[in-house]
Amino acid sequence: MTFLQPWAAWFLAGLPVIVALYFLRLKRRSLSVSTHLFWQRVLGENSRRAFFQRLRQWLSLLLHVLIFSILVAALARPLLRQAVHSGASTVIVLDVRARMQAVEPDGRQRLDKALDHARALVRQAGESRQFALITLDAAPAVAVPFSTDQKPLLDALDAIRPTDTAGELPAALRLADSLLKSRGGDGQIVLLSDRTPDDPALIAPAIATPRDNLAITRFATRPLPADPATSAALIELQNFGTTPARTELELTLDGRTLDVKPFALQPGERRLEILPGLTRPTRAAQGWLTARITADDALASDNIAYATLPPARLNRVLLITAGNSFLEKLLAVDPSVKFQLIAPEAWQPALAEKFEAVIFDSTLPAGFDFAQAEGNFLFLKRTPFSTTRQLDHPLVTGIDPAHPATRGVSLQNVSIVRATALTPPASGGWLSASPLRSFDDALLITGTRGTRRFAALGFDLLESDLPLRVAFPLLISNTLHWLAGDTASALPAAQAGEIIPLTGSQRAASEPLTSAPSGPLPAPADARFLQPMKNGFYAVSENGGTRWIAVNTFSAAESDLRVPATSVRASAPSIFATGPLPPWQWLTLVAFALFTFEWWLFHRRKTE
Amino acid sequence: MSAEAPSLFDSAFLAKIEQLHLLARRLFRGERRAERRSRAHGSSLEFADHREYTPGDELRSIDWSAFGRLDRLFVKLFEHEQDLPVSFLVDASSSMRWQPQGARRITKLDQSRKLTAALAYIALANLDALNIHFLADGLLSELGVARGKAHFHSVLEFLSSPPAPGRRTDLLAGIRTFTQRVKRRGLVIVISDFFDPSGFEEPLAMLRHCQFETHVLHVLDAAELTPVETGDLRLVECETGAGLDVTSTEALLRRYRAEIATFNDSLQSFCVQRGIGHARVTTDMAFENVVLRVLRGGVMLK
Repeated sequence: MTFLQPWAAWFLAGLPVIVALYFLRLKRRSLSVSTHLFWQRVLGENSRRAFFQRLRQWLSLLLHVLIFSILVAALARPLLRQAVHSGASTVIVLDVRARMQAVEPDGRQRLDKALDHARALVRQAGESRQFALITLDAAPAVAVPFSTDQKPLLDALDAIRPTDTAGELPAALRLADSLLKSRGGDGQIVLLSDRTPDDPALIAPAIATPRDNLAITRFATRPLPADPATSAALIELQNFGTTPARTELELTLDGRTLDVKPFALQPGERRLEILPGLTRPTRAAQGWLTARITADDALASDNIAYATLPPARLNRVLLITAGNSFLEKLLAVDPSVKFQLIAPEAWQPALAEKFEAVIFDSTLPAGFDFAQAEGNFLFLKRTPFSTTRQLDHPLVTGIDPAHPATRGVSLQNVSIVRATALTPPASGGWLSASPLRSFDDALLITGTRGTRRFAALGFDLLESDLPLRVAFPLLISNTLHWLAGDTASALPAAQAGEIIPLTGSQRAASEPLTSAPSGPLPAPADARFLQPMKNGFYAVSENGGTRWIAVNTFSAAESDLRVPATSVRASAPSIFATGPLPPWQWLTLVAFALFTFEWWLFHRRKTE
Repeated sequence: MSAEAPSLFDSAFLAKIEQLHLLARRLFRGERRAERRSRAHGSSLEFADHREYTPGDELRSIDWSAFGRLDRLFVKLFEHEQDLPVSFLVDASSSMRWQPQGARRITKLDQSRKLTAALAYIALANLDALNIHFLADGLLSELGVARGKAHFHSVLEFLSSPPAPGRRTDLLAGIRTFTQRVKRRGLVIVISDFFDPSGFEEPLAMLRHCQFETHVLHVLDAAELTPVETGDLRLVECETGAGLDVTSTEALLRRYRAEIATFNDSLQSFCVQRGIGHARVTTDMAFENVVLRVLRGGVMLK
């Protein structure tokens, strides 16, 4: 026997009060009589049965104490260990992935049906039946741990909203298993999903029927290398139905229709389409690119896809070099760069303000004070951060693929004759990184402080074969764009449910936009990461500017609504069977019966 | 006369008594006479017997007619007429003054005094020697012997001034004093509730033992016969002021009623067995009916 509310035992301190009240004299009504003669005879007759009289008094006290004790015991909510161990511990795994938004022929969403099942289940929660709730979206999570109380379970179910995420069902089942193993007694898992694995241990009410669906499964843009002002879009359509489907694809940019294209797909067919010639918008525009197919199918969320088209930007770059043909040619052919070349002697600190980036190639002007200099700098070979440690033929052992400067850069087998180990500035409040390393030595360091940025490369380009590698223009372009504050490529399109880390200066809105906002943008949340659960455009604000992240589901598994019929099993009747009353209710009934008995005894004057 | 006299013995009461007297005479004419004759020979006009003359007898009592016929001297004897001593022993203890709370009936003492007044009037009209005693824990006060209707006023005055309240019931003490004080045997009417913790048997037996012709008027209040109060009660006895805690229930009241019925039956059977007239009276009964019933029982009208 265990007690769920053992604190109720404190009420037993009231027992002496009951006993004291019992022994207090009754305030009797005074009544004048002519004689006690006959009353005494009658009471004398009673006193001959004094033993039974005392027994009646004690019986009354006993009944009162018993009733009080039983009520206290009921308040403590006792639970038989047998009930605890043998009672059903049920884990409800509720699928809230994107596919659960599919509409069934009866017009209801699969998620709504699943929620109805879940509510019916948790209303059976009690001392002998405990429920835990696991939700599955991008990752399984315990929404409510094992509880015998219906309220938190129902509240959690009421708070559940559909998501556009894809997720792994086995992970949710493993979590449910581990939850069950933490409990004794019988356990069972109820899976409320439209598609369940063929596991006889699972209880899975049927909530879905096979449905046809046409979906956009991929949508991305990239600038054309030949013309940075123009981008191309890649779009993939897939027919998950059993019949041929015809649709029209409408492409809009910031609400303006760019193109409408018809498609006809056979059952199961996947179609890739590249849409070139998308003019990049100006900086004032949002760059929202939306693809929408006109399909009246079961799942609407995959009929629309979002992508961003970064505004075109022409960065002004000042190159200070004694001569570097590789670099000069590279900057000359980069359409996003407008550069100016000056000799080291011509350097004036005031020049930096006129350029988004300044490149010091193998030179550092005399008297250059980095701490005081304004502007964004790229130092090549000679840097303010060079140490005396020389590296001969250093091997590139570490590249940070997430860093904006080295994203997409492959420096495998790059030969470097010599390099100087770099040390990030220890003072000045710089936020430094070393995205390119040779073992413990930094070959490339970057730093940001407010709007100021710098990058320093610890070797001479001409003393390496890097200029001959494909990575060279990418590394220089990435670095210049990053120095210029152009981080359009730093926040790529994301999948719903994906965790996107934010830097300290970045703030992201927690709710997406799918159409141009008429008022102010949603207030950004103060969080270190963003996990978008719905598709759309998420605003990320940084340094007074706003950029957009396009979030999509893009999961064939979520869009494929053809549920194998064999995987759906009827629910076990035992889980829905009405169980016996919990002990506290039995105790309350017993107390009520005893109270009625005592009341009857009192009015029959069997007790006093 | 006390302040309560007008309500107790008002003109309507007196008129009823007169009617009762006339009714009694009409009902019992021919079999009852107003005067009582004793067996003792006396000087009345009624001839009783002859006896032989002995020297010293009055010469005027010699029956000369018989001497002429028989030639012997005989003395005529006449029946001796004497009045009947009628004594009322009225219980004036506190229990007789008790009245149930909220009741508007007269008390047992009031009923007793009314009965006493009515019977006393008849006794006075019959030229009986009437005396009235109040008793409680002893013999308290007496009217004194009265004869003739002319004394009825004094009877009413006496009855209107009962002893002060607050006395217990001790019938034995009162009757013992009565028997010691009253040597002339006669009719004794005891009016009481007989709620004497020492019992009623010994006092009544004493009256019989002293050759009093005894009649009992057992006066009760209806609430004493059938109490209805239930609940947790503290019963305060009016005579002693003692309290008794009782949880009154219907079952207890049933046992009470059985107990007082047993008491009443025992008093009645005691009286019947010993030739004591017995009548039970309650305060809600009309006193004139009670008086007629008592008279029918042969009290005073012999």
